[in-house]
Amino acid sequence: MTRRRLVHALTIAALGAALGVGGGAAHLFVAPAPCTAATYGSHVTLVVEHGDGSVIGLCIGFDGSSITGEQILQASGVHYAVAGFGSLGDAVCQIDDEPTAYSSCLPSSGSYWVVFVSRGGGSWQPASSGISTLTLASGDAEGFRYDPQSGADPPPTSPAGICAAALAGTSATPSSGGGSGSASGAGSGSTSGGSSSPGSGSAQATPSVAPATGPAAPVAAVIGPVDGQRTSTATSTAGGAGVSPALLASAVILGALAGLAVVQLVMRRRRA
Amino acid sequence: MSTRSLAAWSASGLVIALSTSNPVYRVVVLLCALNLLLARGRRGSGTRILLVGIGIAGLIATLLTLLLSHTGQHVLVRLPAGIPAIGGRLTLEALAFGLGTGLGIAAALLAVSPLTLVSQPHELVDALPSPLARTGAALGAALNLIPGTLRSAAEIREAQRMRGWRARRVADWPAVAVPVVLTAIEGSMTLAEAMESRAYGTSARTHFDMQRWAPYDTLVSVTALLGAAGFVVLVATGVAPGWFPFPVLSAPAISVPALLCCALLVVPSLRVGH
Repeated sequence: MTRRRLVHALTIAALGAALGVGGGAAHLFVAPAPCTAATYGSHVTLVVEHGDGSVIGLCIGFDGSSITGEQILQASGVHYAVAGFGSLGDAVCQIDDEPTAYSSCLPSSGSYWVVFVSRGGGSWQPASSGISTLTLASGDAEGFRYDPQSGADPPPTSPAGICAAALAGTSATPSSGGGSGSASGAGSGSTSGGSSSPGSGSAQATPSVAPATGPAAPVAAVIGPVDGQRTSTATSTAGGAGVSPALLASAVILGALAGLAVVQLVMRRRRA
Repeated sequence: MSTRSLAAWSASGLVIALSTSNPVYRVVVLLCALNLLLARGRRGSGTRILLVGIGIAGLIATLLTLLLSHTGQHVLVRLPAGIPAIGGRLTLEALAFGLGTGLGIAAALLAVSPLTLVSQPHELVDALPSPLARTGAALGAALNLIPGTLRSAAEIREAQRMRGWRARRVADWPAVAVPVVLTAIEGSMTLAEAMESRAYGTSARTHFDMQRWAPYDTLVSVTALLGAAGFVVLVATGVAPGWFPFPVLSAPAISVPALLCCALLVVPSLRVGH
């Protein structure tokens, strides 16, 4: 009886583990959208500085005279999550899976994402509003730095040269986030923006719901080869390849417990 | 299994279930409690009724959250805005949060249920520390009077109605209330005399079967308390974050150490043949 019980429990645990592996494998198929050649009349620089010092620098091309901070993130293809704060706009809770999880978008202690703006090649200035209401023009830069709220409070890495290198190195090749549509500069069709997936975090006490994509987003996309633009040392936006150990462990534990419950139920009925 | 170790286990399960909003950990506590009830629950102790009650409570929590919280990005249904309170968007996020809340209620209730479904009432009283033993017995006896008084009230009301009594005004109710109070006092006096005739309060009471603290009880208590303490530390330090599906539904973050802390609650279910 004990052996049979053990076999049942192990079988169900193995099934749970298989589900976990399957769930993890699904992440392997997450890939950026294919690149499409295009030219844009305007461009802005996006700089994302992680807590470990790694930096993502991208040049975002767009049509029109202005673009919002959130549309820049959407076009970049970098995973992010926001929480709305009414007329102040959206605050950024998570970028590129940092933090991996959170219970409060802007915690009273601990790290959070600080938004900076550089106008016309000037120095970084803290943004005065949320990214959904923050408007940038061609030549401006939007910066994010994961601030630990302790010690010095430096701005992100300088955006200088990122767009220049992208524009010189390529003929304006949108990438990662352009999604469907030819986006050939004339503005026909609209890109679907970047991925605004929330990752695994959660926002607490958010006054409003963040939109998935901004309304009337201009045609915008990353200019230049993505890999070449990134100076990151340990960043990845293609999703974590491989099975998450936490997911696997939870699948095994939950499967084993469920299997044990079934076995206990059968044994209880037999004892009756 | 000692009732005191069972109490330590229940307290640990309750702490874990209430200290997080993460449904994954709550499911683990729930499954551990279910395993314990199936492995050691007394027959005829009302396990099925409890499970049905927990299911109803969880369903109500889910429905209330779904209907009253209109926040979230993924809209399932739009009710007419004119309907008070529940009118507006019904979202997937609200449904998920309701399920998480219901899961928390179920896990908390199942965590404490072994105290009544596994151990006997007299074992529970015996397990109280000696300074609280007499108070516990008196409290238990007093609580037992409540259903008796309700039965008595129903019987007296029926008897008065047979005599032509009808409840038309407030002034009519003393005809029922006075006999109910007198019957309750009489019942209390009878109970006190019965307890006194059994030497309640004169010396240490006798036992049919003294519960002994076995090494296994130490194992159960230590693992449960360590699991709860470790889990609370992990939650406090942010290693085991909670879960909040608003504004956009997302998968709960899972911490393997926290998961293992919760899984320690399975220890008392692994021993059969008690």
